[in-house]
Amino acid sequence: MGPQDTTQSDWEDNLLDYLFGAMPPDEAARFERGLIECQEHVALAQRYTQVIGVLGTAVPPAEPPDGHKDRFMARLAVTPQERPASGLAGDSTEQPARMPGLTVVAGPTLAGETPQPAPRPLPSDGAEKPAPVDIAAARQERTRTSWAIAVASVAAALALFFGVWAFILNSNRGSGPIAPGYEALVIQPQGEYTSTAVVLFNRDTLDAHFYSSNLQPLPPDKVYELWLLPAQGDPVPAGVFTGDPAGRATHLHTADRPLRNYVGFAVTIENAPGTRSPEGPIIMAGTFQ
Amino acid sequence: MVGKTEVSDEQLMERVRAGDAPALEVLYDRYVRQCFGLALRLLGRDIPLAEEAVQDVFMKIWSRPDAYSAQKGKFASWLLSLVHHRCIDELRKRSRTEVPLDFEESGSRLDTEPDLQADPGDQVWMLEEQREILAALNEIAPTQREVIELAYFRGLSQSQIAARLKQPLGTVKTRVRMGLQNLRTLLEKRGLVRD
Repeated sequence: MGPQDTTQSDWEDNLLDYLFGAMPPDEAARFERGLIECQEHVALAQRYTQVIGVLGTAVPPAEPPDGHKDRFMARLAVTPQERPASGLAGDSTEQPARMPGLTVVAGPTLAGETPQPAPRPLPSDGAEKPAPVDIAAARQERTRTSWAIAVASVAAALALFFGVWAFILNSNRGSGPIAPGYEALVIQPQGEYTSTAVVLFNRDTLDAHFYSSNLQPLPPDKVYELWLLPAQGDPVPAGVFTGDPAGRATHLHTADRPLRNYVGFAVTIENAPGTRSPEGPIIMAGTFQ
Repeated sequence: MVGKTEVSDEQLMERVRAGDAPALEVLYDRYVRQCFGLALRLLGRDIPLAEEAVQDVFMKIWSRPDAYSAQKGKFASWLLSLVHHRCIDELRKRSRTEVPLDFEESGSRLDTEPDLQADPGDQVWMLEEQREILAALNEIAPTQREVIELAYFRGLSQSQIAARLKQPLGTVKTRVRMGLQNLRTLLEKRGLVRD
């Protein structure tokens, strides 16, 4: 139904249902197609939209739940900007969001540069960033330690990727490939452990956003501890955390220097309240150099 | 962090259009509580759902920043209209157009209360704006306010409102239209909307 099919009064009534979101999506889509053909109707719609928008301002604010900002920033980090689009009243008529194109990487990470309509294949499309450290030396060093054994066992477990992503992004709506500069590193379970995690980070910044799922409950005297793995030398403690009743945890670590100075992440189980050097079992590990 | 008084919403949106994620972060910090409060009301106090709705809206702004222009009015109003539509869509999708009873019984849906978490400067600004809007709403006829609230907070069509209030459809349509027109006039006088 469009402006040409009805009287002005009828059309304005339909416009109000449309603007209040009371029109079913398919009907709203048809209405909007007719609406945008006429500048006068667009102007009228905008006048009403301004008033309706103000109604929301009159509702008292409320504090979102803990961790909302971290969850938002995580989504922002992996969502590129798309092409411009028009919309009058909040795009209530928009078609269901397409499945996002996600770039999630095990082992070497890939930095997405352009939006993709569908998930890209996992590693090796040639987009790895040049390693800023001496990889050979780093590998040599790591092979001398149990850390290297754990890290080397990282395997592509696609189902786990999507499980973790579902946790990170909740509905996934609106997300897409990794924004330029940001990377998502999948931290793989080690040995008998089944926990997984994703770390969102930018090599040039200090912050690492860590999202873990399938964590096993720990006794009160134990904690999970995250470690930054340098190319050479001992792991650097990056904070402790425990899982929630659903076995999930989020953790934000601010490193002492840009993350390009490290080659990966690992998680161990340590005695509470944590330790300066790893002593407990490694449950997850992953590298990005 | 950039405060409200330092950079306007419109300036921040210009930066968002240029791909500046920290600018969106400032807008998020500035408006997340207002958006969350609205989503919470619309979604019957479902906290996870409200958070998801608000984040979806901000992600949509990030993905498609050109959807906003100054011609659409104040950024805050436009943002809240996005939240409103996202929530109404959610209600429709989940066939949950009826909100919980405690919400029903909470009196006016537009009562204000202090947001203790907000920045004091922002808090004063928001409370003042809320006060002005409520004053305007109180100046329109109660019957007009009633139908506007049913349309806005329940996502009810005018036909549904007519059925609920047992009023002729034509009466409801007139009340909605006149109510919005009167409200706009009052808001224009207060400088809360502009041509």
